[in-house]
Amino acid sequence: MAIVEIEEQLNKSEEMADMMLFLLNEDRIPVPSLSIPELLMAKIRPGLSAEILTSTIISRFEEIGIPSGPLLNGHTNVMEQYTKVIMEEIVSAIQNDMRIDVATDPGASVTATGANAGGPLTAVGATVAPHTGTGVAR
Amino acid sequence: MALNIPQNRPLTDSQKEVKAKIGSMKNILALPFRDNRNIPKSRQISLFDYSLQLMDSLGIDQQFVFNSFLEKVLDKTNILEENVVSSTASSLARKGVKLPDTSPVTNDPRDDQIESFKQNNERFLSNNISSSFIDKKQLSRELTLMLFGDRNGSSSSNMNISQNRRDDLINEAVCGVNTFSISSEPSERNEDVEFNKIDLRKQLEKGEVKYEINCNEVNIQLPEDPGTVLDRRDDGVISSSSVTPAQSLQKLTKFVGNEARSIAGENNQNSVGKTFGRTLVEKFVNYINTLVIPYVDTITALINNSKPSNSPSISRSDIAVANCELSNDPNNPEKKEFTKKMANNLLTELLSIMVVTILKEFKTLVANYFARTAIERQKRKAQKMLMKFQIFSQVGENASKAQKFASALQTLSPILGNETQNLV
Repeated sequence: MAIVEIEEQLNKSEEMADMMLFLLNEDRIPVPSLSIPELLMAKIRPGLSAEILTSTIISRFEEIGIPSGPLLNGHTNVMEQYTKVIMEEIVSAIQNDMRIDVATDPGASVTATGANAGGPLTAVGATVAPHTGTGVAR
Repeated sequence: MALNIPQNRPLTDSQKEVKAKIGSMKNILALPFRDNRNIPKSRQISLFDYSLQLMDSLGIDQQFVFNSFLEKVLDKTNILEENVVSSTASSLARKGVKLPDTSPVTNDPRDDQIESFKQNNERFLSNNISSSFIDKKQLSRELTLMLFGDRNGSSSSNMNISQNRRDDLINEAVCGVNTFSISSEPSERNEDVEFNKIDLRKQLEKGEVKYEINCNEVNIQLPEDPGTVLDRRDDGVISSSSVTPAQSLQKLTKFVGNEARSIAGENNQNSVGKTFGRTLVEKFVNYINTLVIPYVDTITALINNSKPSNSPSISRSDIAVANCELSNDPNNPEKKEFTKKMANNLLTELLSIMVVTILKEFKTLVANYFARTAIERQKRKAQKMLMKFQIFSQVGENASKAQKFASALQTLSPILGNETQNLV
């Protein structure tokens, strides 16, 4: 063991690593929020399809050097099967198991009509414009 | 006996699924738990070693960083002098001395007193001493001797190092092997430590340094006149006044690399060159106590000229203790104070350069990475939207499926020609 020790304030290898992880998080580009019209337009989206997703992924195999289609001697391409299985399970979990917990922001505009006969006002109404909220996938 | 023909009873999908899930759950439970290691600080990798690993991952040239450190400390700033002043102030403060009076205020100062005395001493010394009192050129020569020894007894005289100083330097190089380490410490048995010291003394007395390259021991010697390496300008002329101290040490690093290449082959040149660059910086920090001790006399002269007449005189050994004496009394905090401050302050300078370089490079890498992946994502999205727009721009939003199909098919009309009609 060395006679003269390194001062405690210089033992910072873990802090160095934490700093770099912090920079990695800070510099990522956050996904922008969608506007209300863009959100409402989402009604026309076709929905997830495991088959289309699988074929899109397989179409990009060449970019990374994975062979697509049947292999030599007609062997099944296990990577394609593997991709298909993964996509099917993920899409199934999203469509059948996933839950989105939503909280709407305050301040939605409401129009209501009602009357009272000398007591508390009873009104019936509806929101008049789309309003924002935040959902968290579970 | 009746013949039993086993019947083929294949499993249904849900039966197969249950068996597969049982198997996978049992496998997952059998896997060892991910161990979240909580390693105590004292056993973690040193910041110096970790920074070297990060520099390798980021592709930063280590020698460039080491050169920056040597230039900063030896050529461009008075950090070395400031550290000697600061370490002296700290060493005297620990003894309870508050300058200009050299009589201790108290023989056992508290921590807050030590800090207050230190600040006072530092102020006093900084105001009264010249800013550059260290001969860094000579310091670089003495470091060279401590690294490569005295070849044929003539290297020292060629570098203007007296016989007494030469003996001191070699003794201190041997004693100082375990004084301070900026790397995570290797585990060394006591008997190996003594053997290594004896071996090192032999190498230094002979003027040869051994390096291991691919399990081959390679001996590297400096010329009898190391000035031909240290003081050689880029145009080949030997001129001591034209080459700075940091440049001398950089030339030494290149010389060792070239020697290794000629001895052990092309492939090994960089491995020894880089290893020596790191060794040089490590030894520079490790031996800094020995290298600056002679200049403590400048400070003691100032103190003794300024003290009250009835106060005791201060000598070099009251401030800084040589490595050999330290190794005989390793647990004495007063004796270690000067060396501890010098070595740690220098290490701080080195680490700050390394960390700043790493963080700058890492930030650039991260920014480029996220920008590039975001651009690629946007490009793909834009291409898909453009394709959709090109296909469906001719049909209204409420077009039927058939109309959309017909529109999409138009893109293939040069190939399909009249067959397009049959497909709609």
